[in-house]
Amino acid sequence: MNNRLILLALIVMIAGCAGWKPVDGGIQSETYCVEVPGGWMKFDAGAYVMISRDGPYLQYVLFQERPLERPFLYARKRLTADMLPQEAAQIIIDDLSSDPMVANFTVIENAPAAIDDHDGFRLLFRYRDPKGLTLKTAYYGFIQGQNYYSLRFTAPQRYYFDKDIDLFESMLSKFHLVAAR
Amino acid sequence: MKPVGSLWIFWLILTCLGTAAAADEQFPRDPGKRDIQALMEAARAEEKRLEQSDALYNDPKLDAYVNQVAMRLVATVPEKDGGFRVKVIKDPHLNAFTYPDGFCYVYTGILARLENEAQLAALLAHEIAHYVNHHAINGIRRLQHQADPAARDLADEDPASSALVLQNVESTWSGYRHEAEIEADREGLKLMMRAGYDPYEALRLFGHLAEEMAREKYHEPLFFGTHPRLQTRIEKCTEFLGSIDPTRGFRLNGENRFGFMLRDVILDNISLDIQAGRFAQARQASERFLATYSDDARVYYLLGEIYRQQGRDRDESNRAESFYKRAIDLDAGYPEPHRALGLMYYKAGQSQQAQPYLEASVFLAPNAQENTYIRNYLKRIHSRDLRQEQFAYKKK
Repeated sequence: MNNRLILLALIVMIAGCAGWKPVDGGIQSETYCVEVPGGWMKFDAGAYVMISRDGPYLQYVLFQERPLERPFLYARKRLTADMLPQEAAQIIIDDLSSDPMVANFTVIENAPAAIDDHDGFRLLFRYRDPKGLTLKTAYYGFIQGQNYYSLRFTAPQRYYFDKDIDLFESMLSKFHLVAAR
Repeated sequence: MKPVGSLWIFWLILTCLGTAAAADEQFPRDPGKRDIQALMEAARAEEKRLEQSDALYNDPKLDAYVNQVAMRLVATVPEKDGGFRVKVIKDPHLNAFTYPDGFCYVYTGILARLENEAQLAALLAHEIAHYVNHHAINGIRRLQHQADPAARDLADEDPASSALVLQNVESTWSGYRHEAEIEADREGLKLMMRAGYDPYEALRLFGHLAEEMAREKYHEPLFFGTHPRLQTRIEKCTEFLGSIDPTRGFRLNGENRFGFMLRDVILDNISLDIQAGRFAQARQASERFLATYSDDARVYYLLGEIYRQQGRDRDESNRAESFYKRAIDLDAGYPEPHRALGLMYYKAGQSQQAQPYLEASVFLAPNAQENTYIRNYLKRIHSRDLRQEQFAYKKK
């Protein structure tokens, strides 16, 4: 899934950065808002918003909102409103690790987390993309009402992940739901 | 991982044809030489990628066992070739494939479905027949000779973008593949018989594949091709088996050794099926396993997982609960069913029932990754108890 998004972002960039715009203070969707520092660009695909400062191959943050009933690309399981964060995390792991483009998927950390005071989970994982590059992701997810929200930061494991992870964590603290559908 | 196999070989060949057409001209226009070299290089690159990934099952005893069965078959080949090797891939789909240099990959999914060593021999014999008859290499030669010369010239100009070439190559490859499969079936049966295996077990293998294809509604070819062709091939094999002398003793099926070697693979594959959401397959495999090993706590835990994760109604939750309890009865030191049962009760708001199971799971597996969640739940249960105690004290 990550690689498809990277590919999508790359295609968009090659096409002349047509879909990329400056973030300009923050992101405001119908259901959430988040403050983003200056210098970042965003690509709004409707189902998700991707932001990056140096290009998605060096780092990207992805904000995604999806209805619970929407099936995953690889895992046949569905999220449900009554799931514990731990159960939701397992489905996300199953889906990500089933992506044929992802190799050596390793979960480094799987722990409970609060996102905007909502009970959720934090995953820290690494994987290798088809070009052999090892990427690392910090992934937060939670269920609210009939929607699932995820926020993730992905960057090459070497150097780039550590460089911006604190920045992502500070963005996370400025993420708020404005209205749950 | 999605099923791969003959479709992959087709794309490998297609890629090699493309790269060969675009390669430098230091080789003469001798058909096949550059393409075969490119095919072998592509196969080796793919094998290297597999070796470096975490896709391999990596059980030395299992690897040794499947290779022993393969070598027993290879030993009966008139022109012995020591290049055939088998490795196991952890993937719940029913698949197996062989690269042209003799590296054969068998999925845990198909291993877990087999019932005896003779069925494993049928699977490997089919793959060995592909290898010793050079089907991939002959395929590339056939493509070169039969493809429309005009299309070939076009491919030389622009191999990547020519739909005409693709159509031509696809149709030639599809016809060739069917011929190759029929030949591999027939030669595979002969190999089985020469090695002393019961060749009728090959029909059981076909049966497993047909069942899986119907259940999963596969349109893409798996190990044994698309459904109508599978039916034709079952008929061809039955016809061939009808022509052999039934009094000859091909009775080897190696059930005991096979069952012992495959026990863990079956359980691991059930976990993979559950992970992929293939609950029907997981339940069927668990029930088959239970028929042989009724005292293995792990299968009861997995059955509990199947029913809990499906969780469609109260009845399924009750069944999950009883399977977890049975697993704990059989092995009180097994942390997973404790954790699962504790979580079920916790989720249902039955904190008092959840607490001992959650505590036991942390005690039994102090380094488990899930413990951060469990400790969090226990903290909430304790603080809720404390609040209730304080409330009761104030009321007094």
